[in-house]
Amino acid sequence: MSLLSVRDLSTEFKSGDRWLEAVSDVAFDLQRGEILGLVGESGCGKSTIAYSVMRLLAHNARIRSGQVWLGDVNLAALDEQVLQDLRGRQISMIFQDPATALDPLFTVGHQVFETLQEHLDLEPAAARKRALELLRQLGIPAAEQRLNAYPYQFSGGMSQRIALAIAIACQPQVLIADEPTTALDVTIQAQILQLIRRLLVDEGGAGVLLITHDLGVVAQVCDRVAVMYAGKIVESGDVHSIFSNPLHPYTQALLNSLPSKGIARGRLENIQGQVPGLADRPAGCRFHPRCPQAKAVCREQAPPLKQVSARQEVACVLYD
Amino acid sequence: MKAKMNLPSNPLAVTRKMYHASRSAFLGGAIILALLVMTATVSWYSPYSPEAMDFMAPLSAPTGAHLLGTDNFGRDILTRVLYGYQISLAVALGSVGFGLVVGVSLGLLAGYFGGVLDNFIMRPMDVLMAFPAIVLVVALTGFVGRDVTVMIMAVAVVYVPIFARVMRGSTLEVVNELFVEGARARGASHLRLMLRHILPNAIPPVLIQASILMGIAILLESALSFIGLGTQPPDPSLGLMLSEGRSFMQQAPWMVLVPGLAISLAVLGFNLLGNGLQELLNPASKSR
Repeated sequence: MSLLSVRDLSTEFKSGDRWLEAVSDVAFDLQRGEILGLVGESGCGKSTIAYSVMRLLAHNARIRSGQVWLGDVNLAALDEQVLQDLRGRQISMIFQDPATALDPLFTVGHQVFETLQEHLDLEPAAARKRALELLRQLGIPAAEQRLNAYPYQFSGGMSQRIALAIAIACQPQVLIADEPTTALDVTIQAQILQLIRRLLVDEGGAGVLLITHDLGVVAQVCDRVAVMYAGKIVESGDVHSIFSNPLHPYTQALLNSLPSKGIARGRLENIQGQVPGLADRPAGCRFHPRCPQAKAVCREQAPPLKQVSARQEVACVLYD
Repeated sequence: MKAKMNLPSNPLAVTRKMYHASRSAFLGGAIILALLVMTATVSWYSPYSPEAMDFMAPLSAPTGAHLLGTDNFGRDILTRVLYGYQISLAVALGSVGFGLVVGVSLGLLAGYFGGVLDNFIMRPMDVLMAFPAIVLVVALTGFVGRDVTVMIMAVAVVYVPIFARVMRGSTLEVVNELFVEGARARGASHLRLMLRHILPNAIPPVLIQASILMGIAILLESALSFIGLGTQPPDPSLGLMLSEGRSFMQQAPWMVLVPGLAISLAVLGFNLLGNGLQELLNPASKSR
């Protein structure tokens, strides 16, 4: 059984007196011990999926339909009180901007500590010991002194390590990482990703949903990847297959637009047009206005995600 | 877990540290503290009672016996000012205390939950806010009676919407911070979020406001007593003393100068404190 199983999830936002769908009928599974990358351009609904799974949506957003199964519990329909207990203990999240993800008024030690006590019912001494151990595991130098420091005294990379320490303090089964390395420089980015891989996935057997727009990050750490466009998953599969044999025209275009080392000169490829806004998503396949291989049928028919090989699923009429 | 702060043990060093943290807060705090101590203990050390009349020395200029002179009944002005402070400070602390508790709770709820509850709380506050403060206080004391408690409640009613507004605005800002989301993501309840994470982060502007409103409360109390709606003679009150002294301004200017300066001093103290708090409540200054 999958660790986390999202079924037909649709989430919508209120705009004026209309509800606009940001995520449409998204389905995916996250297995134990794997990192699933969720990639796409800004505004395609990646983060909305993360917030829907955690049920941390803003006041003007709601899950319209679908289920989020964590084991045999449907988070989408769970009582808020019960959910509160699961958050941080079984399913946690880290965010893009580590500097603001920590409460400025408490020491970082206190914040690690608070989470441990809230969920694990530890003695203060044991919790302190565990907090220290976590900070050491995350490679924070002089952890003992750093416990008593305030968030503003930390650099971005250090803050993200602390945020990660808090997120994994209770050894959750699922970690949702919403662009965790976007605000960090490349070397720190690699370190954080390695930590996630080592501490959570390899040692803890947890599953990680990694949201990013950086294909380099995906290639570096993910096992599988789902590509999103305008609120839908257009292609998913294991990283190797997707990178070596992208099927969906959008995935192909996305990979083509990466700068490559081999070519010294020449213009970068880009995808014509831009992502349609929530209010004016086209009928049929949502990529058809920008698709170089669009046919007449693409304007009317929205293709479902279909298994095309053992390791790849794609939503495109070209593969019918 | 307690954050270890490197506090010096010697009291002089502590004072010096506080002075350097914020001169304004230190000075304001010192004025307020001195006033509080002096007025709270006045009955122990003052040789005069505030109502005792010395018919041998009416309108006496400051002398060794009467350090700040006497009024037209020969009452010691210093003693009356110190007793007058009791009422002023009681009104200031009482009204701000009440306004703070009620206003902050309402503002926090309105800002945190938003939507219908926000409107339900804030629209009545807007209505209350639309009344000019002094008129509202005059009306309330006029209806209910002239008494310190009534004065406190009247000023508090004026203050509740002010505190509610400031707190709501500040809450709205904090509630969207990522660390609140982060705390939610690690399983914090509404109550915990509000009390542990939002309240302490959102309260600084409210505390600054509170300090300034204390000064204004003293002015309001003086104004009410000045126009005859507050403290009644022969009780000592700064506003009342000003009002009584008016007729003797030519012969005994100290009768208006002393209570007037006394009011200014207290207001100055609270304003300095408010300014200083602004600097102090910035978390980045904690480690200094």
